[in-house]
Amino acid sequence: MGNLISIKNLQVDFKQDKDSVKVVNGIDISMDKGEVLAIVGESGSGKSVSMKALMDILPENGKAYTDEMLFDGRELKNLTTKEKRLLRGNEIAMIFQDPMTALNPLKTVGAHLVEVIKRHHKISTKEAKDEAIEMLKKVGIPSPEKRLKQYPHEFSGGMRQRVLIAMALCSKPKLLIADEPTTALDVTIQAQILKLLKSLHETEGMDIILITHDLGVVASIADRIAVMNSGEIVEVGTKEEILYSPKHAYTKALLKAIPKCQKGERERLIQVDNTYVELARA
Amino acid sequence: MSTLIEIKNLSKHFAVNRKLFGAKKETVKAVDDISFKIEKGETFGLVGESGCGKSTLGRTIIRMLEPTEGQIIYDGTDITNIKGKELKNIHKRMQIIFQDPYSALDPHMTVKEIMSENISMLGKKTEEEQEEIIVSLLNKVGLTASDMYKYPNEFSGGQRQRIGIARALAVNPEFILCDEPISALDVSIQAQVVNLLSDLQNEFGLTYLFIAHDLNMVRHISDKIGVMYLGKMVEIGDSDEVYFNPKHPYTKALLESVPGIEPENILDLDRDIIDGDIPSPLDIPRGCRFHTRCPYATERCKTEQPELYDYKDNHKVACFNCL
Repeated sequence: MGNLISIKNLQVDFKQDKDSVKVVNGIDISMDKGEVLAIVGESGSGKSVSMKALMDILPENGKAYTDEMLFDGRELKNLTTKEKRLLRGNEIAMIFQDPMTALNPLKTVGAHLVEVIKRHHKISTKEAKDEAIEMLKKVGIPSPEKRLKQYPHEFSGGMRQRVLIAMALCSKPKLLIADEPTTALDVTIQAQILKLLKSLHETEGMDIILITHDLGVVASIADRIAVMNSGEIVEVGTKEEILYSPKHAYTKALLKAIPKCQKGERERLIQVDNTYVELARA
Repeated sequence: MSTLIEIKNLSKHFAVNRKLFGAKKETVKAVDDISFKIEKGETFGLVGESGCGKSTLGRTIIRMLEPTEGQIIYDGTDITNIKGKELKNIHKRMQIIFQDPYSALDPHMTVKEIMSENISMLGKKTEEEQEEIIVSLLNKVGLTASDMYKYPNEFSGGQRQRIGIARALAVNPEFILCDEPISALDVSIQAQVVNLLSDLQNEFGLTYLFIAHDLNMVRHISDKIGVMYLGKMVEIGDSDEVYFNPKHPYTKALLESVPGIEPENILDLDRDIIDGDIPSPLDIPRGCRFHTRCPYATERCKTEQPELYDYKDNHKVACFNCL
């Protein structure tokens, strides 16, 4: 097992008028091949932003600095814009929380998939369509031939998320970054999507970085967990270490804020105080 | 304990036009023939997935929506068809807290103005009297007197939810419908709001109907739980009983899908997980509504609709296979 990602001292600043705000404050992330890494944190902790920095898709007023950003042995800082674009499509794919806004409502699901497939492989539209059907089958969408001709609004939330996963799979990426992929979904559908991600990780050898705020989701799928708060990684460890013997006060507090599912008396939930730490002015 | 709210065979149907110009009317049976009771001082948790009708049921109970059929009895009086002044009087006793703390507060009004609207329902008050009430309410929910002059955008999500709670409390209600009050909040803030709600319940003897889809949180706060699926109540009972001894296959599936963090509660993704999507409420399956996804469905389930029956004291289930 080699190293897939190694990021050292990542900082992200956002320009705001004349000031700039430090959103990510010098974090190190490393991930081995064959792993599912979860980045956990509350809103505004910098978990999505740090992954967008890795993908180089930060908004215009955001700027990332690192000492080192290695992906599969290559330094990403040295890549040209074109090389970065190729990397984004072919080797790293990303799916987002809201599957409705990520799809174009005016295009059929098939058109979405064919577009992505043709960008990655030099094949005819007909072949691309067959490939699209294969992809939809792979992500567990029933009667894919019929579904291909439908529009995103005809799909339920869970099915839309499956379409996005299928699109991400088209390029056979080494790494899938899933940004809160199940937050907008109902629990039974959430379980289906997590099951799908896990089986794709196992059968397609696709590694996953899961960004979420739900420790329960993390417990079901992650090998390692990084806990973020106010732009810093406060603790990182295996799933067992983080969930059952947390060291950092914030991790402990976060775990206690979740209701226990034990019978009988209900303890009062422990409140995490001081969550809204002012982001440091850079 | 005495009964505060009794629902008898309550239904709420919506007419929808599916065709842009067509006259063909279809109905969505968002709530279909539901009966249950809420006792004084208890928290009744209502769970179910999107589109199961839980919010519609809640809103019909507090008469924000007109019931299509059935009866709502509030503290001994039938409030199903009351109007005008009578309805206004009832609304002083039942309040609602909304899911989205961002859209529930008018951005053009200060906290004081938002709360004064509700306080004035109790009759004319001088400016000083009003401010006094507002300050005491804000203190109750963990905000300060100076917050009164601020606008909603100056608060965080959790603080806005506190303002929503303070507004609901302004009329001294007996009953509060909490419609997913914590779904939009971060985990740590959820704990704060849930603790606040239970403190207020102890202090004022409030009765809650707590709607949510986070089952762990619902069990934490509720005395009783009702589980809804496509407009029907499929299981209802004491909170621990439903949670630890679920009988309906849907309740089981729902509970099995909840990702926990304790070793014994971790969601096992290698196990079989309930298949399929929730059918469209426009096209409700015949027979038991859950039979399309149910692993135990029999021929009878496809044609006949099971009614709630007493599985044991304080635990009712609507499933033929649990008989």
